[in-house]
Amino acid sequence: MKSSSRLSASFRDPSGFLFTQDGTLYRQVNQFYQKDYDQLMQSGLYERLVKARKLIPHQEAGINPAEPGLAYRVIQPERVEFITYPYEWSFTQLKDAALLTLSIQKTALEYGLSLKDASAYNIQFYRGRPVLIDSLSFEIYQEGKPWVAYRQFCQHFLAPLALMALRDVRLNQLLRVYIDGVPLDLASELLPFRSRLQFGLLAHIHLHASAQKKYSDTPDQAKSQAQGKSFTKMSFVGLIDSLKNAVSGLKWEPKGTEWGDYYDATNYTREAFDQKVQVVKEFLEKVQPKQVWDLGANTGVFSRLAAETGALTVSSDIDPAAVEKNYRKVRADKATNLLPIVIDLTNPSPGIGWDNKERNAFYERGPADLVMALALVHHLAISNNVPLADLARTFAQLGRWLIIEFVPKEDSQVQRLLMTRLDIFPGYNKEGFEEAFAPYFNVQICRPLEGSKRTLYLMENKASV
Amino acid sequence: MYHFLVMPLLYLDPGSGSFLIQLLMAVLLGAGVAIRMYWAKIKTLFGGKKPEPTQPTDEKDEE
Repeated sequence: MKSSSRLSASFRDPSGFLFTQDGTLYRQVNQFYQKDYDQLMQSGLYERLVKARKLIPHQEAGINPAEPGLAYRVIQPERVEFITYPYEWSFTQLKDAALLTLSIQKTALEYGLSLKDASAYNIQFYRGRPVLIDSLSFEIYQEGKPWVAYRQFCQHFLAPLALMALRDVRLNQLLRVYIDGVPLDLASELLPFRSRLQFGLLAHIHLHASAQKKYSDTPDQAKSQAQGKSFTKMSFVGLIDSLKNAVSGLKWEPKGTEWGDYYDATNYTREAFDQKVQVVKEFLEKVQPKQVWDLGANTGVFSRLAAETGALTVSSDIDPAAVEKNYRKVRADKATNLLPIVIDLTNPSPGIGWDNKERNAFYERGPADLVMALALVHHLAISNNVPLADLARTFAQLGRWLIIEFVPKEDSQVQRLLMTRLDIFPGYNKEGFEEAFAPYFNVQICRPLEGSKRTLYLMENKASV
Repeated sequence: MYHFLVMPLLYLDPGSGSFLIQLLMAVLLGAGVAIRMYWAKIKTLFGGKKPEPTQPTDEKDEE
């Protein structure tokens, strides 16, 4: 008996939905959407976007649909191995996703199609680049109507990008609170005055917010006014170009944040650093992981060692500047195995949306084959008072293998952390550390780092044995 | 007699304000797009070189 279940996030669109059957991901295309789907596939747009690696490829699947009464087809899209969300992205990741959406929309118009939504959740990072994963997002273009997805684009992309560039880079986290993008009235209030001097932001955020407020009480009157006029294809292209200029004009440089310049002011002698690299390589060679989570990865120096072995490597850090630098390097190198994201481990992304199940919690996206926690433990245990036993228990839920670096109190970094506070950590030492991890992990290899007081461990989860 | 345009069932609520802003932008920007499209031709009117045909969507896919 086959088991199939609809994905909890996939319910808003009558065109179809995602479901899994026996572990494979499928998308049911409903009869409601038949004409649009055929146009996508037969017009040449599908081939063009897939060839440009802007749309996730799919195959027609021969299986029975999850809801046969509604179904036209079932397709099997290529699966994105690790899902991320716009509130976890760095500035340029969100910007690239925005520009991709606009580029796809512009191309689609050439084939008689148009995007019917512009949600940031339709974009995922796949093999190092943003791609559109919602193949059912296209509809047959009818000249005369304005873009139905315009509001959503402004809320999911333009508003958070403007807030990040002109106010504070951390403001994309508002996307975690507002499931359909940053409300434009809020963005308009938060943006500095100088944002009104840029035509694109003035029109698409500030005036847009005013118009939303003004016409919220009179939908029928506004709609009939709108329908009476025509919105030609040329106007449409003009709108897309205007949005593109507005997005392109937003810039942010990752300087001057706490950890962005970490490796320049580092604690390691050259020899200790090189040895650490060798040890991590040795551990990676032993484990041969397929998926690696590097926690507290900073700019991804050690993540790259994992990615080079061919593993899909999720490279997370709390500092948006470090993640931004990491992503810019991914783009420059055209790296395909590395996925930088912003995660605060003391407050990782929770499940949100309807039933708190539309967007998955960070820890629900596992398990990883290997978790790396280098130069991290002291930040959690000392700066954030997380007991070592709790750390061990949490790490044990994430994956089978663990590479972890113990940083003792004698280390100068920890000395710095303890300078401004009382030392209330009697159990924070090598013995306490090993004792805390012993119930959950077996230590396979232990290597002290010469020239430093730190120790690297390779541990295997007891639950996997 | 009322005449309604047949609008396909949209699952996404576009918002009336958003519609109207786009119409406003169409007026403001329409001129801009037209000028850009025919810029080369306009230049030749003033004694420039032969125009290359300009397309509204002339970007490469790898941008």
